[in-house]
Amino acid sequence: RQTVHARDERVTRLEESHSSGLGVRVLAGGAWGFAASALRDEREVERVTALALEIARGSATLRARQVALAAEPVVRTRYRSPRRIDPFGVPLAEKAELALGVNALLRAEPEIGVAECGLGAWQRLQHFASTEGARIATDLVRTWGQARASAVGAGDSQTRSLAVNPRHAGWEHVVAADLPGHAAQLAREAREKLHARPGPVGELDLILDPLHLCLTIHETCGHPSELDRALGWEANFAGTSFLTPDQLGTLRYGSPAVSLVADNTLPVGLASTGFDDEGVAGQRWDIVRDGLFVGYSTSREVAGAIDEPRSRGSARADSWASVPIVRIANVGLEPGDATLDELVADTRDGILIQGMGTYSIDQRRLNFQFGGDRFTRIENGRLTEPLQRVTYQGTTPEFWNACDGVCDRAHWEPNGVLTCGKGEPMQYGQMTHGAAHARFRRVRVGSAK
Amino acid sequence: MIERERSQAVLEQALAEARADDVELALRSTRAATTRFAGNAITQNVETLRPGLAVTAWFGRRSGTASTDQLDPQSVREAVRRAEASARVAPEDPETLPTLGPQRYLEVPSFDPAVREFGPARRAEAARQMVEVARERGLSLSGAVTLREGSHALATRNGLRAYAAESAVTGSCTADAGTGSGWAAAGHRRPERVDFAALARRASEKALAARDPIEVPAGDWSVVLEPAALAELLQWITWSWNARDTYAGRTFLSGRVGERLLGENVTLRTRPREPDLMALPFGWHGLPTVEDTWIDRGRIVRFFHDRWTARRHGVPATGWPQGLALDGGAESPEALIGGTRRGLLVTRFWYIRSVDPMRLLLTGMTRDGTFLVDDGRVVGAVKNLRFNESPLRALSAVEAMTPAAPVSGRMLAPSARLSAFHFDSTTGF
Repeated sequence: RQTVHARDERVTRLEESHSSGLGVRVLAGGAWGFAASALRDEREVERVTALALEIARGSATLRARQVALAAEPVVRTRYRSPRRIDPFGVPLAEKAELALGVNALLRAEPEIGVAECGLGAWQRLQHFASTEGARIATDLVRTWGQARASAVGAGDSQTRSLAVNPRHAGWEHVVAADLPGHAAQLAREAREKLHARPGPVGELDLILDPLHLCLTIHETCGHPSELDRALGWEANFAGTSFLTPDQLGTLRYGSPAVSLVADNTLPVGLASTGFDDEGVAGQRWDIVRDGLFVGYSTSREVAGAIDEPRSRGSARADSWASVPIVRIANVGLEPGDATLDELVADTRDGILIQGMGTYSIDQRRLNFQFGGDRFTRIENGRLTEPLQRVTYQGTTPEFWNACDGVCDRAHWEPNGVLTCGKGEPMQYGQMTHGAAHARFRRVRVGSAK
Repeated sequence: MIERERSQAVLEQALAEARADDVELALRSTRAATTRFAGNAITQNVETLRPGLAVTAWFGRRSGTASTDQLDPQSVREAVRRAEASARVAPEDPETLPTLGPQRYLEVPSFDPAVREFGPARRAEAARQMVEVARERGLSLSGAVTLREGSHALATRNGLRAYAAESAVTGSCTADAGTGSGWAAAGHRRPERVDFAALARRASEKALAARDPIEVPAGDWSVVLEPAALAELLQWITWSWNARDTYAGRTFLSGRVGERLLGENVTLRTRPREPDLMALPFGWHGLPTVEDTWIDRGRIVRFFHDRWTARRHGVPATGWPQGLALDGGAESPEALIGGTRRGLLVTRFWYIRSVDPMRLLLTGMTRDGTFLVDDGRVVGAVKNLRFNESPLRALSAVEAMTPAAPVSGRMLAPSARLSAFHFDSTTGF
């Protein structure tokens, strides 16, 4: 992993880290044990394996039932995520220069008090092997970045961000984002936000852009559709789910305009790892189809709880040091047939929300409050003025049932989450949520004062 | 963990290999184990050993960092070379300071060797004890028993040498009574100080009391916050008081340094030698952990300064505070409730996030035991609520407090009654 971070005219972080180790998961006596170590000599391999077995035996003393794994074809293969320019072949000095250059352009603009630019690249080489006979080698590369401009004045500070949204891609992804070329616009939008009026209070129509929807989908659909969570396995930490298995096929999660599809075959998707960390191939399946709740992300252990014969291949560990757990897949909103201009033109009283801001949701994934990064008032079909400090609240199914328009594939973008926290001990997982702009009618706005 | 002698050997090797003008090394190793259960059965049971060496090298004012988790001599040598290679091409940093020299550290009792006896069988047994307590009451229990054993060592070219071992055992559990839930948690560096069965009893009693909750209206409420809830609010103050951002105009403290921002009865100190807290004798880049007052009768008198910003403003650089302790009061928990005419008793908060950093406006949910207090008595459970509130405003309205108690070993905090706390909406459970 390489991380470059600059604040104003200083590089504050220029770091390269290497990590390697072995994780062993053992099923014995119908229960799991997992142990891992960074030390990889033969003696340590034996110790770790024996420890995993000892831990499994401890698990078996407090077991509800025997763990049963859904069948999966055994494969011996390789997977390599797409890339054109090896990010580790790009000199660090060039990355540092890029970050400082972006900051210089931001600071050259009036009222920009703080400029920040971060760039990152990560590569994982993993060998998975099982006593069932699977042997899978994967090579994944991921790049990302961000520029942030904070406009400061009159006792206030407002920040606008531009994301080089994380994806499985090489350095060409960072180059194509053209952070320097967008610096002036970023600074202008931060200043506009500083001088903008606070958002209104009331029930308004919201049009949410793809980057904003990434987080909305993640919190309101991704997490509640993790089957282990729905079965109560996360109850002591992140909570449970209102999407209980008895509601599969019957709960009206959203309007007919809403279809949320999990796609772990999307090449740039962060959950597209070829095969998950149980050796299950990446797949594509429905979570919500035409508004109806129809599916979960699953692992080999939980698939049987909803009578599915096969895992959806969504069990991942965040590193060799962590045990695979059910993870949100690349859950995305299927495109519709509208254009953004059409949605705006058909909105009498609303706000266009771009980018990510504050986010909080209850422990069953119902009551939420979200913010954003850029807000523009919509009045009588036109974008009129910038706003600041906009938040909105809702209850998940009511919110998604208020969706009455989704833009077409030309507006669709895949945006990734790098630090999805889950589990005890905490793991930081990654996944991508693609979406096009979508409109939600009469949403409660502005009560967070 | 890596014993002191071996730590020193690794660090001395790295220093000897380095050709840079200045070097800072951080070596740590952690053995971490978690036995996790849900629905009265173990669902996940893990143990990981993870060392790490971070090398920062300077050539003049240029620096670079490299890290590895392999500690054999070849890997250490390579980490040093990578850090130096990065440093050679890095831009100059005008804020470069020499690394720290020798420091004096407090004697902080951070390690109990008994942690080594808390193996897989004992952790499973602790989980079983907790589950049995819940089962006897007809409840479903989820929770985790964790162990951490580790070491931290630092060394610089200018002579800083630091070493500390640490241990931590924690237990937490959430009891499910169908229409209500309850939670309890504890942590200590000494395993025998965590009473797992007591945690399960407490969570179970709360869950049973939390059944059949009613909905109460959102709005401003008088609240009694249990220590965990109060600690979560307080933590956000300490996470948000970064001097660099403050002087750049980006925090709640910008333009308000020295003002009284909280109630006069709010005093926050660091007490790292407190036996029930888990602190280390040093922190950020080897800066000593201090015993000091950070909030003095409502005024923030000390906050995080990096070394450059500290020098610029003529204050000591102390790093992030460890061993936080909020001064409590003398009321008993019963008296706190008894003095509440009408209010809400909150066990804990969940999913707290910043809404407006300039006002430290936060949002979050109540969770796992929220109760209505009427005329000095707990009269029933309520459905959970979302708050939008600033800890600055909330902690300016502290009416009464109990003595402080440990919150999972991270902080000492009392229960407190606050006269006004804003809830914005409710949820359906």
